[in-house]
Amino acid sequence: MHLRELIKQKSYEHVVHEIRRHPITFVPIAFLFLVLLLVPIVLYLVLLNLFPAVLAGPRTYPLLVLLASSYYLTMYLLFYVRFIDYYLDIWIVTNDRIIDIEQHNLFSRSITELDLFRIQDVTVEMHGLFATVFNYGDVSVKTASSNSHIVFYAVGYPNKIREDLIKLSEEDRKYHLGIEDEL
Amino acid sequence: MSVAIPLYAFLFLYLVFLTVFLAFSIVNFYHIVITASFTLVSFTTSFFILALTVLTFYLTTTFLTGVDWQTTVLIFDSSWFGGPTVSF
Repeated sequence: MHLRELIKQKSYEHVVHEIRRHPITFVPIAFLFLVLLLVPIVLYLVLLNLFPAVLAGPRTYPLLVLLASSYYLTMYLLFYVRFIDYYLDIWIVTNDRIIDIEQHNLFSRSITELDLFRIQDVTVEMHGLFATVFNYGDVSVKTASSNSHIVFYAVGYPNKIREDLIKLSEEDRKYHLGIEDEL
Repeated sequence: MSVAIPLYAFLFLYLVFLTVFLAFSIVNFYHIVITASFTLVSFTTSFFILALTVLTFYLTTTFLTGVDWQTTVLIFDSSWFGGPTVSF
């Protein structure tokens, strides 16, 4: 499926930004899984040194191999699920609206839309050393309505996105005011 | 009383696990496709996971070559709890 089908792109609309979380936010997860992949190797070395008979047993050996294989496959699957959760959070900014697609877990997803001309406030929040060094943070987009609120979590170059959103919002507001004046 | 099962019963359990693994992997990949996120990054990650899975299967079958699956595994024996049974 193409992005334009996903967002049901209008004829006059073009995508300005396609934003995902900063890749650095996935590094701790990747590191955790790397450590978890080492666990069976460490256990194997412990068994080899302390209980070598367990590894040579006609019953325990195949059971341990099947257990280790299941463990590794489970880790790959969990890593893949976490990657999906990270990668499928996407914010699409067009010249008309913002579309927020959030993957909460494997079977839960939400899609929110917000018209650019309704934007009242755009806030950038950058917390911590990593966010400052790698230049990522949260961009909060608010409208006059209290229930319309979109947050771009941990996105790169948040200040550039804020500036672009303000500019696009002003252009869209002018366009909508023009339509109202004509009417 | 004692209960013993053949080793191949665990192989069947492993096959059930593989079915679940395969189903979830397909669901994950399906998510990537339907959300218009099939990019170089998602393709590389999917390929990496697939390569690791194939490698794990290969190593598992290599390590399990020559195993006698008819060997029985004792999973319960009443003497574990009550001590050795005394027969008169």
